[in-house]
Amino acid sequence: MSFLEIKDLSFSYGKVPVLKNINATIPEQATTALIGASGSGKSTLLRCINRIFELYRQHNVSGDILLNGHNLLDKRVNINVLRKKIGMVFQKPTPFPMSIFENIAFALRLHEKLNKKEMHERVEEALKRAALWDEVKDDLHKAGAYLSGGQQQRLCIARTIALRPDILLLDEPTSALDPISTSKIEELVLKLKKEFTIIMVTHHLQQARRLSDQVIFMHDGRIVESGDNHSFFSAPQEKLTQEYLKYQSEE
Amino acid sequence: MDLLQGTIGFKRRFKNRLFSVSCVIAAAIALLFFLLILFFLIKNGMTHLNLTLFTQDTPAPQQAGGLRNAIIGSIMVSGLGIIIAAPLGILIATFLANFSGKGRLAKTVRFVNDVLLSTPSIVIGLFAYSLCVRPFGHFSAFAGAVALAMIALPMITRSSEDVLYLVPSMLEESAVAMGIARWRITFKIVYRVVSSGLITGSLLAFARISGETAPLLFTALNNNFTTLSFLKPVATLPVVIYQFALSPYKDWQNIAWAGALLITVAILLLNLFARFLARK
Repeated sequence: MSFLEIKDLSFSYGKVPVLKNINATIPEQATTALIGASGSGKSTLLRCINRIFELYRQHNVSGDILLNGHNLLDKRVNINVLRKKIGMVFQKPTPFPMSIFENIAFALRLHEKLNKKEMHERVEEALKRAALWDEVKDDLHKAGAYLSGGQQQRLCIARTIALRPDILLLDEPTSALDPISTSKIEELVLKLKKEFTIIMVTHHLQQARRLSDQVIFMHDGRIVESGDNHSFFSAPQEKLTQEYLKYQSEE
Repeated sequence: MDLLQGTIGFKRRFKNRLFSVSCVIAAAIALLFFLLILFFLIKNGMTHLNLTLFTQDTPAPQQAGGLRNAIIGSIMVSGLGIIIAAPLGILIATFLANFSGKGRLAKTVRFVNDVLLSTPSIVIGLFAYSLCVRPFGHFSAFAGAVALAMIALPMITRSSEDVLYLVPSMLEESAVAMGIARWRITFKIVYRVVSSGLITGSLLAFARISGETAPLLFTALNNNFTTLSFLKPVATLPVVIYQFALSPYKDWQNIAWAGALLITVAILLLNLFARFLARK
């Protein structure tokens, strides 16, 4: 049985359909890249998986998203527990207005009862796994906003994995970063996929190629083609995919 | 194409000049009036500014005295007014900016707020009178504070809403995505990001209501003695200035000048402090 399974998922904001009958399976402990042009619905698909779309009104969702057989879209699901299990990192770094330590401890404290020592261990562990510990270990009390953009983004990854989620949703996590910070995040993603199931939206074909095991190509709210990294990039079947790959590689 | 060749025509340059000069003149007129007010206040008030102003209560005609009861009363009434209005205004603004979406209720609240913002203060005073004075049978500092709170409320709501829109939605989303309850996100993250803006809005509202006269005439009324009770009528600076300035007694007029200088400088300093906070 596959880990995460999306069945007949349709989604609309008001009367505007954004996702049209999506079916996909996401393999465990691997990276799935969602690619496609702006407006193709890949971010929306990501935002369905942790139900963050519910922040906004007038959405309409149908279909199932099954995590180990349980439907995430079921209204009875405890949404806060769901979001602990499914972490998300956004396009831009979003450090909370508090210290580096508190950035990680803040949500952790709400989800788990930890004593002071355990809390310190978890914060350290999270920062180490996010490859940020060595850079900030002496500045844990400093505000998260003092870090560089790339460090802030790794802080956001650290506080997300501190909750020990099963799935990591990455929404173009490097789009606001310089090339060096980007390559650090990419290294990190390669390391993290051994422990987490990662679903990543990206605009960079090369990034998708470097990082992903599986690729899903979307266009106009539908999945055009999906497959494992090698076959998707070397022998795309659909005409739309071929055109997209060609157009992007020319850039 | 040679960028250095050809000049902008005389007519266009003239129009451009005319416009910028008009803007400068308009700004100068505004500044001139402000400086004139300040000049007259200093000229007439400075000589009567002394320590007894702070240590003695308002005197009977043709006797020496100060403004202690009015200064304390003003701080009490305006302070309680802000204590009532600030939390309420910030919560309303939070509803409008973060929780209402584009709903009809939000539109209605925003419209009512705009109406309240432009309601004459004398009308608000009468309303507070019928709400907090008539039923209890006596004037009180509390009634004055309620009237001032109603003037401050729409100002704080408006300024807080504007400030709350500055919080990037992605910051809130990223907290929601960690399974943190929204009320906690609002208090621990959103308010913290814009705290200086929220405080600035409330300080400006405080500066504004501390100069209000009309709504206090029917509510806080006046008192010749210092009181710390919110259930009794109290003197306030604007009301005492109003009463003393119109009196035929020279001593009272002098105290009124000193009081006017005092409150103007206080409001000026409050504004400067609020701006300083907003810049931080």
